[in-house]
Amino acid sequence: MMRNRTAAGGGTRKDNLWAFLQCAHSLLFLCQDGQQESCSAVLQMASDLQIAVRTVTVEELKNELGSAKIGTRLYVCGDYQFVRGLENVLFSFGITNEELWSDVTGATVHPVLCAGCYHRNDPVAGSYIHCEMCGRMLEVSNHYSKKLDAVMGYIVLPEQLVFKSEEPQPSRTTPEGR
Amino acid sequence: MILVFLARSCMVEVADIEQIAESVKRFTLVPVDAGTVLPFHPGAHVETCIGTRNVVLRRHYSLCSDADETRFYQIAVSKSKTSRGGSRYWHEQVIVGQRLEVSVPVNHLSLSRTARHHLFVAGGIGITPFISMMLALRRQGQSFELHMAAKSALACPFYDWLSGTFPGQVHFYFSTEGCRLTPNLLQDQLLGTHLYVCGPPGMMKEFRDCARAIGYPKQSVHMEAFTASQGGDNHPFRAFLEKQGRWVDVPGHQTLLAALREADVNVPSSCEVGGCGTCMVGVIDGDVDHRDFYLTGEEQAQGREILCCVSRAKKDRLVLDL
Repeated sequence: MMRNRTAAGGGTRKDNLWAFLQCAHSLLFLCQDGQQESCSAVLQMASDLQIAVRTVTVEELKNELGSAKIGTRLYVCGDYQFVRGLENVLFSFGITNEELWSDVTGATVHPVLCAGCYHRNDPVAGSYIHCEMCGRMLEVSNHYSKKLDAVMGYIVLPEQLVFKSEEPQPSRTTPEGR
Repeated sequence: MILVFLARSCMVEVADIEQIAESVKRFTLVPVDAGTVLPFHPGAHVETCIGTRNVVLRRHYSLCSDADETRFYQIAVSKSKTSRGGSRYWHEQVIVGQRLEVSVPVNHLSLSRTARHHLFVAGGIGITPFISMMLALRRQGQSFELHMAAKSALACPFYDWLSGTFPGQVHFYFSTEGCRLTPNLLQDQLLGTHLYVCGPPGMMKEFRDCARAIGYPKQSVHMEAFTASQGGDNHPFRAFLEKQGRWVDVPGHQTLLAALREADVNVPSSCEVGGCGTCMVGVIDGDVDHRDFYLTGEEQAQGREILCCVSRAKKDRLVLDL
């Protein structure tokens, strides 16, 4: 499954991608090893629109960005860690969401920020976790912070625990002594 | 600190008046209580309230002093040939020692924190918001350039100061010398460049449209209008307020915003020249004659919103989401 993280639009994926590429004068194309096949539609669309495509590696990216001109659009594809790492580099060059199309393959599990102690818990699957710093039980929300690259974990109050105990329990263990 | 945010305005006194170019005067305003002025972010403006007992003129002027300067504000006013009273009053009536009310600073033109390069384009008195912005960028060691159009060096506000303060970063275009500022300079800029434009309506529209065509993202293009676009004819029309189920008549001499307010419809506004988007309301039906600088070409073509301060109906009616 492939999910787009940026360049949001109200239409289908194909429509949105078409609208994204129509604004491009050239395209920097960066794909994680092994994912090239899933990007063929993007390359075909760029070809149809007669957009110059330049395929770059992670190592070449900073150099390319150093000389890229306004009107360039960027396409990146890979698993979540790969894409997120690249986005940090791209945003540091002043690139906006409108100039970037990211396709994420595989599962996306974000770190969870504890609303009580602000500790950033490592990514873990599940609706509830125990904060590895303060031990509080947290409900994992979908409130994502791009700056922190984490979702908010809301504290589950003691009176709510009765109900929550019927929910699947997290696999994480609480710190000793908590 | 709380008091600062609650304060809506403060009294200042005109401490100095300088003629800095043909038809342009700079006014230095110090707080009456001898304290410090309220802080502002680079690019901010204030609303000034001047006039006599019978006529009160409220006008917005960009602060052209350094944002780090806490002892005074400075504004520059160009005497307009088509003045509705504000600039003429500032030039002909305001004297040193006069007291007036100024609002807390408001900013619709903030500097981007993520830009890799800042590209400023000013037409005449449109330079004013960029002065504090360029001073801030220089302190931060960030990359920027200014392109400024004026009739001549004598008519160009801050000409000597700009030339001396930002050598190599400022480019002048004087029409009397046959040199025209065109949007060609927008091309071949580095990815991550942010564009800021302040000038006459025609120039702003030309640069905005060209920037979008070149591929500048919407959030990288920043516009500050100081006069409303004249647009086409101002024929009267009727606006139907869908939620309230009633009609409001908009005569030819009145803006939609003014007509709505007269009908007790509270629509917030700020710049009132189509530049900030504060007075935007939804359009359910009818064709809009867009005269603002806020919506993109695509958004204007969709016709789902209208900026009531300047835009009107193309035909005889609009249905608004009010």
